Amino acid sequence: NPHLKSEQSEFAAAGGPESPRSSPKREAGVGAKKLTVSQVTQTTVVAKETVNYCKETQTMNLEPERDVLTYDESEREGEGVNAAEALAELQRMPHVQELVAAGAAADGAAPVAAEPEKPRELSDEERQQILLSESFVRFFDKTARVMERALAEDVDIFIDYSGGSGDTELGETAKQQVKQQRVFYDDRWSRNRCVTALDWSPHFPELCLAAYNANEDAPQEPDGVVCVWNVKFRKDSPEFVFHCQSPVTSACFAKFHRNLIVGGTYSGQVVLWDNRTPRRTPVQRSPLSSTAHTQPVLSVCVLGSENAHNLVSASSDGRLCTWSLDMLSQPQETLDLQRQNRPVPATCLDFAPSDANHFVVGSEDYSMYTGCRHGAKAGIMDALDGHQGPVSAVATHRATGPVDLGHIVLSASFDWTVRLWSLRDLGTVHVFEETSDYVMDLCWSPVNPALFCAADALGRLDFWQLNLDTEQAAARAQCDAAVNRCRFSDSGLLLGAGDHLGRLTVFELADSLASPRQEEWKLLGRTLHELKQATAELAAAEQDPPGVGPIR
Amino acid sequence: AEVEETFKRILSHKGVIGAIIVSYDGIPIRSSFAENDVTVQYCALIQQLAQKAKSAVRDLDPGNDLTFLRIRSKKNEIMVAPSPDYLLLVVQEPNDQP
Repeated sequence: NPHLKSEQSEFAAAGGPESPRSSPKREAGVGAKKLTVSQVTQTTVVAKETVNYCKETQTMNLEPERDVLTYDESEREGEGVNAAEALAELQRMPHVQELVAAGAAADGAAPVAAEPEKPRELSDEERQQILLSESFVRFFDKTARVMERALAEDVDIFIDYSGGSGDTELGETAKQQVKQQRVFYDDRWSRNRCVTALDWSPHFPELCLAAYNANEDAPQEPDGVVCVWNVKFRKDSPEFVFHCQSPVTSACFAKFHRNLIVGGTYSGQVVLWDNRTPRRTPVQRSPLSSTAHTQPVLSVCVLGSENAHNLVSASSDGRLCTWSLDMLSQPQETLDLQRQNRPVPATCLDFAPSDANHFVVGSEDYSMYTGCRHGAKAGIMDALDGHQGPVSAVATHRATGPVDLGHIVLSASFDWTVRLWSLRDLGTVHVFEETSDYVMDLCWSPVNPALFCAADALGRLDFWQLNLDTEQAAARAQCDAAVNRCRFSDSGLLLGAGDHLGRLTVFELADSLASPRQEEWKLLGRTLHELKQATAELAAAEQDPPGVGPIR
Repeated sequence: AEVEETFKRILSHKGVIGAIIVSYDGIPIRSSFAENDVTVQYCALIQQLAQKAKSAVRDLDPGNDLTFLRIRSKKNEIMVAPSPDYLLLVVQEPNDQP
């Protein structure tokens, strides 16, 4: 019986209980055969899917291959896996599916496809999960910034000059010395906040930061905000936004660290932000203790050289603290500025340009003091009286050149005047009485030794060029609100002015005004000499010299 | 929350028609287009194109990688910012009139 025989052999081959060796013997012989019903085990082996791809297919226009998408979603349909898992799986999977040709892709989603290939839908929870995941936040933070810059540029590469109207802009006000370039204002972060500090980045000349204090109308928003704006691109939103719990009263870019921003707050804390992390709150904070500051920090700056630098902060109770940027838990040194055994109510501080030791501080008691940080007589050295109102800003001469003018200091005060002092003879060189309101801030130009800018509470910015005219401002610009801070950029061609409504206006200066001429330094020396003589004559005539005197 | 805020800010830019965030496997995570099939269409097409562009760049120079893709057409401009995990796609109407 051939059927049974074959079954037996099959069974034997499958490894049944009957010994396989016995069956062929049995078949060979003609002995009695033991017939049993055998169980037929059936297994189905699925035909192996031959996956083939040909590189040519990718580029050639293949008409019939239309209905298979690059990522074969149909294989995974109905599994309901986590998006992250699918991602990992996909990254492991090599791209060996039948790819759709480039030509066909153009009309890919046409209903010609045999099966409607719908990509797998994500449920709302999955979406939310992805949106909150850290990798997504990081991606979106960076990409959104790039995208916003790309969106804001509206350079028209297709412009056709032959057909265009061709209206030139050269005819207009070419003589305008100071032109308003842009206004930086963010509705959420700058609204109703006064600009308390301004600084330009020493590493990237197009970045500037503005620190804001609290928004009284929005108590739930953080009190202190620092925004970093980019002048190079046209986008209107800040590059970075940082905030902290207490209003920021002063801020600066860390000179030797391109990622750090230092801020001093109203509560006396010194905070450090890092733009490498996505978090907007400070990465380091100084403690609120009596060893550090307990009063608003009015100035922070990084002094020294690349390898040996310190952070120096000054608060309004006359305390000067030196910190190391790595450790803000404790100041390295503390110095209390006192005059006649009373603390100096400081309002502003500035260091001499290349000297980390000597500084000038302006105070509310109408005078300015010079001091030094180290040495036998650390503290206040001399007093400069003359103003009749609290000193709001001091500025030591910034531009470096053939003549050392580090002894020239400007001070602005609420008595509507700006005074030019010489520290060599501790006397006033000149008084500028042009303004008609509180002078809020001063800044020397870093390139032109004779140029400085004074901002007052009427929103007026006066640019004084000492070599041109000492009685009148060389150029004037107007802001809509009271300007609280003004700073020249490091190139000397831009000036940022922050006002009390939260707007940061960037002004562009004409080259004739901003850049120094050949003989600027020499002329300045002569001008200063003349001014000094004039003041001395005036004083002698009045027989009432502006009070000057060392205090020790 | 911040993601939402930034997304809305991008959408409120001058000329922006819509924006889509796509995950690596071509699934839209967040889209500003009201019609779903428009979103799906954009996702599928642009995903493939970005992938193609990326492989083209890498084939030409293995050390190179695609950072940004801008497709300028007669009626609008599609800006694609790819990354290893996700893709941000913004469609803007270019303003030819200065």
